[in-house]
Amino acid sequence: MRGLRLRDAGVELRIGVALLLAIIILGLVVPAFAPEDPRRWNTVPRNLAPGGDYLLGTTSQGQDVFWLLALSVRNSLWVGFTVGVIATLFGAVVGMAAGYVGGLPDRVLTLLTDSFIVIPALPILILFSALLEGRASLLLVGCVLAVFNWPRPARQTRALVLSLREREFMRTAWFAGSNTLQIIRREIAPYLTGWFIANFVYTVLIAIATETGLAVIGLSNLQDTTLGGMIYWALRHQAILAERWYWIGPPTLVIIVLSVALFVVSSGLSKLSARRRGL
Amino acid sequence: MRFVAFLLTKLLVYVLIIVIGVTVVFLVPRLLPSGPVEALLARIMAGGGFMEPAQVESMRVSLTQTFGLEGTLWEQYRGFIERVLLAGDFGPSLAMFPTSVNVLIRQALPWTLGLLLTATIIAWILGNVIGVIAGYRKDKAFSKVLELIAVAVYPIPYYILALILIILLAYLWPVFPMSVHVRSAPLSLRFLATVVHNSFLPALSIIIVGVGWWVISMKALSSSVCEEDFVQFARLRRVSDGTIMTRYVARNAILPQITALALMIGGVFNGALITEIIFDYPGLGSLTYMAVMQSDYNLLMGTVTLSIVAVATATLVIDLLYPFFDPRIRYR
Amino acid sequence: MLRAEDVKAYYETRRGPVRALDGVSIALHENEIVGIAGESGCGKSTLVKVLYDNVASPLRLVSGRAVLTRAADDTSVLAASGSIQDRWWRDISFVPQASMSVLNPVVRIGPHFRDSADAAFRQMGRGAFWARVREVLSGLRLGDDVLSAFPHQLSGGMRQRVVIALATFLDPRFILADEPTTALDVVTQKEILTLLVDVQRRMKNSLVIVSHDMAVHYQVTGRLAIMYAGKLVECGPTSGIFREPRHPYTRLLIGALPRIGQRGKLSGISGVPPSLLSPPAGCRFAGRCPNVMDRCRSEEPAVRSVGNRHVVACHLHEPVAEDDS
Repeated sequence: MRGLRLRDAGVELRIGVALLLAIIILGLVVPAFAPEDPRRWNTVPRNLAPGGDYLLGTTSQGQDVFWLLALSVRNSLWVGFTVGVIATLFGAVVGMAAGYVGGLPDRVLTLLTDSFIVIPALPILILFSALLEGRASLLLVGCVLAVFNWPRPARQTRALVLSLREREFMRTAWFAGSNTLQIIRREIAPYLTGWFIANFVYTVLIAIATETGLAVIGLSNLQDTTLGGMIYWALRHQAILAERWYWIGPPTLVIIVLSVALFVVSSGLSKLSARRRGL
Repeated sequence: MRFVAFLLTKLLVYVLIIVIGVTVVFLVPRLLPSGPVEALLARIMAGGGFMEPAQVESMRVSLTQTFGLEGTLWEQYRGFIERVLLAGDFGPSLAMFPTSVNVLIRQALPWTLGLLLTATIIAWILGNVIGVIAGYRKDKAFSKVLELIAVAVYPIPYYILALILIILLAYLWPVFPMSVHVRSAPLSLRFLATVVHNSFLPALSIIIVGVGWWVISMKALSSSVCEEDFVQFARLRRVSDGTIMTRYVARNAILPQITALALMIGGVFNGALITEIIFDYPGLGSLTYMAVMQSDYNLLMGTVTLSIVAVATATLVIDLLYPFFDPRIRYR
Repeated sequence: MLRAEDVKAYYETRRGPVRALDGVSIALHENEIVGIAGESGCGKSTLVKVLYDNVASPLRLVSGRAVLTRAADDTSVLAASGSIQDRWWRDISFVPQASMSVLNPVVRIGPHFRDSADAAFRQMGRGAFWARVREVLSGLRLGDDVLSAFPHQLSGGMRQRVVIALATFLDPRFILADEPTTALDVVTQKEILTLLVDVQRRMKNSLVIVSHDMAVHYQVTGRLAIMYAGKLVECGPTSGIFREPRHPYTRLLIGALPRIGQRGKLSGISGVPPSLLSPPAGCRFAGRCPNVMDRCRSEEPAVRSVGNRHVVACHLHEPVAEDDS
């Protein structure tokens, strides 16, 4: 981390980080202040337009859009975070092992990675969700998404390790008698920190986007609300035809801002670390 | 001789990738606690009232047979590989019994291929052209605006973008239909026009997201090619601006984009699935969705296997064609 | 004639301007081979950039100018007004450092010639144009077949000969070569230098060779300019300089060359050049000079003639103090 300082960051990255922080606060802090469980029906009058007592209006089920939104943001972030952690760590371990060890293990791992890239993840995710009939916990949904999101970080890590391996200091470490594990830990891993974080953020983006896609067609967890789930219920209750933009608008807007912020942060971070390392 | 060796390695990897992919597809439903048989039985019982336990049992057996779920895992796997991969027979559809899965796929495939190929190619060309211009003139205001738009549009989840397009272009300003209303008909100019008109929104959603990505990556690639010695030397030689941009920058920066296209095809396929569901487009994606909703296990295996084969084949074709674009790579 | 007049050119960096050229004047005449020597970072490549009017951010021309005068019609053009750029490749051309990557890797050699000379191609017509290219190539002992080859199919020496052909096929009056042989092996180096000299003899134009290698200058150049830390310290006929170097820095550079039959250690030059962010007052070589005097640290030596077209900037050669010649 010591290599990454926000001081060197460009305007884009700063804006991205600011937006992301705002959304994280909305998701992690705000729901704690909800007067009651925002998912429950008929806790407030139905179909109220924004303003007055209800900042963003109310749904046709009698839920407060603002508190529902905050809770959805929390759940979407949670899914993204779970997938990011699992997929990035697993991918990084596979990539490092393949890139550093080389030879037959590399070939096998690369083949496996390539196969997983080719498998269209979505039909299988849909199959999963259909068999679990929308009852899968958000953690399980996250784990399943992680299965299909480790190949990208694995590929990138491998490519990076291969380019690092050719460098002088690696050979020096090898001649100095360090063993493989020590070399990975001391020489390679520190160089990759920036990439890890960038990759992690990008995986979070992909995960949130995929979960949203699944949820919107009604195939994610429908009891715990996520941003996609909120859109699903809004569509189910004809929010477009009834022109209740205050119901379908906020989750759509938040998902757009969240995705763009995640993307900007991820690409900003990888540019920053590339510049520092001269990669 | 070297070409043969190169081709053989590539083909071997191709077959291996398909086998691994299909194996994962084979394993997933078998590892889940509630299998397709139970799911279907539950559905039948929920909808059809009372059944004798013996009836249920015989139904379970026959369903297990139809799904190829009898015997040990290994026997099932062998049967699956023999039937599906070697004979290319996915059995009958359960939702549309007795139509075979192969027939259903044959009907849906042209729709998906037509939409995907057209949209992907348009997005790739458009994105790379814009990307090169923006990368070559990276200090100009329009380059920065273009990149800003791309960065603001590309990360938006597919579904959300499609939803916005529907609201804008089919609801608020209804120039295109909300969903696709054509089904197969004899080929005529009018039929084609209807198809294009109906496919416009789904195609547009794929193109917008695609163009965003290709612009972002191509801009980065071309501005780094601009720093290369041969571009600097061309400039000092007074090679004309247009020639530098096309023959020097674009020609070099496009090479990684060809490889990237191969890698993106899987993702494009995922996207198309959602697109088809949203727009009710009569292709493989809708077929997959229907299969899932109706627990039509054979149909699902068929579409998923086909998409794995299709993505792997597209990747292989691009891999094999790559040496024609990069003179430095000869068949290894 | 190609002249630099009191040129100051700085690289703008975050820590302030790097004074890569700090008041350098030099004149290059027709039909001669001039060498520019000095350690890396002395400003010799920057001087070539200014002469070629290839000044782009972060490099900035602070003061002075470069002038290209055509003897034939006696017209002058100024650099830094962008007008020399109109003469690029016709009146003045450039041979970059030999490297893998100065030629477009995905395009055959032939189109490289065509790309560089759109106007000439139209003027000469297809037949005459390619005839001229073939003639230049065969002068460099390259067959026609290189035209249909890709850069990676040629050896390093062949690639550099192609680059020389590219730089000379429009018969320019000035050819600036920046370390043309540095990345090549010794045998190829020798071959490329010989070819460059041949080309110059035939075309009777003017060739500028920038190199840190004094041996190259000894073998090839007729006149030699020696630079140190953004300043011109000595300039004169190569034979004169090697016979009797005036500046202590030149003496050390020549002393560092190995000689046939020499025994014992080669002498290097101890110390490092001063920072060009904040160059010291007085003579910039004072910190490393074996003959340093008190006034060297405070007073900057002016460029003075020591006779026979030979100039030097050193307090040892004050005309009033003593006359070495």
